[in-house]
Amino acid sequence: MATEDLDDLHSKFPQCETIAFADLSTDMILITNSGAPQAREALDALCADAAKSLGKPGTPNFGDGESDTALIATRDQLTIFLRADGEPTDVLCCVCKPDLDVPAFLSAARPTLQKISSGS
Amino acid sequence: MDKTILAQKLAALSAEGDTFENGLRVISDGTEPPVLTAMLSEVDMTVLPRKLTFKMGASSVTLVAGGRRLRGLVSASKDIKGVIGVLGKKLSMDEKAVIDGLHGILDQFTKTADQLTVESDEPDAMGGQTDAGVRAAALAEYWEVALNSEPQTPLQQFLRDCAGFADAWVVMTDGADTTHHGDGARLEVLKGALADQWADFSTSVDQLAGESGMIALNNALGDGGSVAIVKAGNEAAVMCYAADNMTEIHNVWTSSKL
Repeated sequence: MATEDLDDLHSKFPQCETIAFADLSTDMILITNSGAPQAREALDALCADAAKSLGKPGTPNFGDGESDTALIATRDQLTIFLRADGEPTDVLCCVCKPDLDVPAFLSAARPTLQKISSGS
Repeated sequence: MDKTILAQKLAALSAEGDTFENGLRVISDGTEPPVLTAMLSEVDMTVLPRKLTFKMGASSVTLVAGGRRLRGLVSASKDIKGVIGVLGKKLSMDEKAVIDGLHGILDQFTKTADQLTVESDEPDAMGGQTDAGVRAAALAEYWEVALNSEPQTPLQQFLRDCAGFADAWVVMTDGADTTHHGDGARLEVLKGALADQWADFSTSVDQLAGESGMIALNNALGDGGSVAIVKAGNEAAVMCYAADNMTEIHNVWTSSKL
């Protein structure tokens, strides 16, 4: 179950409060970890930010490449968007505290995204 | 004093962001600014008589300065050789042996190129006589050291600290490319993308990260690499980097004063 995968990732990285799987082709968050504190409107905004930062397929935010990772850092929040390999509209949206261990999180989050994206 | 020099001193004194380690002020990370430059700049900033204790790792040297002059060496840690003939001697350009001896001592002290701190105290020796010693600028010229009197902005410090992780960067000021640096081919790709997309990209960055955040986009330039942008007031640094360096650049931003 995708929720269990997201909950498992959240349990390993509690600094990441919201982990959501989104479909950029429909601009919708499809599923989140069960403890995600965001309301529906905030999740919609999170999905919009994913599209804005990573860009939708064929319309990149910057450059002409297809970004697979976007990191947005402010002093009180770290937001990470990951795009699935082979399914460019499947993205993982992660809202975290600034003290997140980013390399460790990325190593764990990408396989989770691929697993959910492939439906395995 | 020349008005330009005075303005630089005042700017340095008012520069934000001194860092401290165990209560001691950090004046060099071991490479930037160069250690001897940092020490002479400290002397150059010292108007009233002060005892300046510089520490690097387990080594230390204590100098007395005043009137922007270096008056002499009053102590050194035991690992430093050749202090006899220099310790306690007042510096004078007429005594080149003492000045050369001090240069050798500072050369030993700075060899480890580690973080340099300074502590300033009331002098207990060499405190009087305001025209005693040798001007820092004269020592810098004699030792062929550049005095670094212009403070760097937080954005400049950030770019300096990213030197090992970014291949090229462009600083945009009010939307125009004002400074750029780095690998020629990657710089051209970056400049081309900025020329075409800056306005929309800048707006999206403001919406996503506010006016003082950082955004990194791995592989945004395809084979040209990844792009990170950091904003600071009316300036923005846009960097091209290898995707593996994203977390390093984020770490530099986290510890920066931006």
